[in-house]
Amino acid sequence: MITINNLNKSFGSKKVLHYINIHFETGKVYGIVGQNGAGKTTLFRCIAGLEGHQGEITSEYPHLKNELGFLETNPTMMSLITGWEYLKILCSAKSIDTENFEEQNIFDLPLNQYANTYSTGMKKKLALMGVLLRKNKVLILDEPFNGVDIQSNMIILDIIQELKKLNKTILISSHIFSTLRDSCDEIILLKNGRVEKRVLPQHFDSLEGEMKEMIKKNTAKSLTLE
Amino acid sequence: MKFYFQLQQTRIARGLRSIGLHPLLGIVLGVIGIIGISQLMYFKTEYANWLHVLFSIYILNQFNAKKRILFLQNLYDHKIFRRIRLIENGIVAFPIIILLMTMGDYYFALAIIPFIILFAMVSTPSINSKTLPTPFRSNPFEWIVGFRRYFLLIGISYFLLFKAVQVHNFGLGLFSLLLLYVTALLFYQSPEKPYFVWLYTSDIRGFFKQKIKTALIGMVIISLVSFLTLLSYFTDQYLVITGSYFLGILFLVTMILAKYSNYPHEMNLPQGILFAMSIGFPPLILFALWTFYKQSKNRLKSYLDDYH
Repeated sequence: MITINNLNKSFGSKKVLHYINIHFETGKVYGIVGQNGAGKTTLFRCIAGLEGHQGEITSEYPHLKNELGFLETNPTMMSLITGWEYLKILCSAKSIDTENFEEQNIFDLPLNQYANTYSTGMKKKLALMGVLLRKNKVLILDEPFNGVDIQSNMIILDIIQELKKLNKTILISSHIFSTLRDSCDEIILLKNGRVEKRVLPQHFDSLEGEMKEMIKKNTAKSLTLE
Repeated sequence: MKFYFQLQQTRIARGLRSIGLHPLLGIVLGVIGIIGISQLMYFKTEYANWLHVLFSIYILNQFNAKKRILFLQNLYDHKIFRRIRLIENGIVAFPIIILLMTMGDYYFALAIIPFIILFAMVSTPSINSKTLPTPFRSNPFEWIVGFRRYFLLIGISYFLLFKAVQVHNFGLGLFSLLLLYVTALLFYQSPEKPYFVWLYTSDIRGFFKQKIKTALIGMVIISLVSFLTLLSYFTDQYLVITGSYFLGILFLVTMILAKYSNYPHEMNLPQGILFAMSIGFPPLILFALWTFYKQSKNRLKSYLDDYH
């Protein structure tokens, strides 16, 4: 269980998150949607502890960070580090003494190649593999489906279902609504750094319709501007 | 092309300002530093001219990194691209050529010129695309990256050790050991991205314990042969050798703490001066260790200790 109370975050004079109050229950999958700049990634980074903020984030764990796996939108890769070594870094930082990554190489990645030579999708798959290997109780997946091929998208959806069965709490952001509809227990719509609405599965279709309408309006607006 | 070089100038100025230095002062200090290191090499070893040439090749190769080259090729047509590469290689190698010439090593200075042209004409088959095996694979990550980036320096150090034994020159032997330490210090010069610190589930003490343990294992792996060779060939100098060995380890630990003393940024100017002063006057090292530990603790707590 994670509770966020009055979370505010600014970058200089620009306020990115305004009084966010959300409650995430253990074992559930939450989708976070919103347009670019709505504050999804900042919200995730605040929860993870990678950004300072105002307000309170509490959880049932003594140290949420130590139970949390974070897949970044653009995973950070180091130069001159192979895929295998990247996984080793992630594991050894949590004192997980394993070196047999080939067996768990679900995406068939070339683990002996330098990770920063991987394609965008491959980097994302490697980072996801690392997050899974750390066996965390809470997972934050920021745009896990972006840049990843269809086959891998299906594998990721399966993985999310499996993790849910293991009672993990998962927060996902995605621009591909169908992936969220298939996996989430609740979808939270962020707009301009505020929680616009929380939607349960029976209303996912109407939310999708609303979002499509919003995109249409924005497209029309930008065309008029031209 | 003019804009490209103006931009490089701006980048250097920004880099210097980010560590708290006025660009002009930074350049003056840089020039003094380069002359100082060059003179030190000439003072310490008769192979200083070779080292200058090897160093210039190393720098030219760094400028020929695949990513950079691709970026430039995308921006400029072939002719301008080659011209840019020639000019920047010339700028980079020029100080070393001048240093060699002032010391009367004209042939060594001339030997650098073909490399300036070669590296401008031929893209290095990038080391980055082929995985270089490393003995540090299981101990991420500074030693893995550092070894792959600076393995040439480690090779040069072993070559100098071999020469020192061959000509029975203790000074050269000690220099080869010091070169290994300097190489290891380079592994810790830039801080990693916050994500790779955030990953640790240990507290700050545990984090440093793990970092120092990795460094000591790495240092023993690369330096034990040099240390034992020096001890067995220059027995009468055992105190100097052992003293330098352990002092080197102390500097390495200090460097690890210094790396995080201004995290997530690189060391600032006062911190850099403190580190340099402790190298010049080793008793200061205890004060530097304490200072860097306190500063690092402060800088890392939001990533490791403080969070929910």
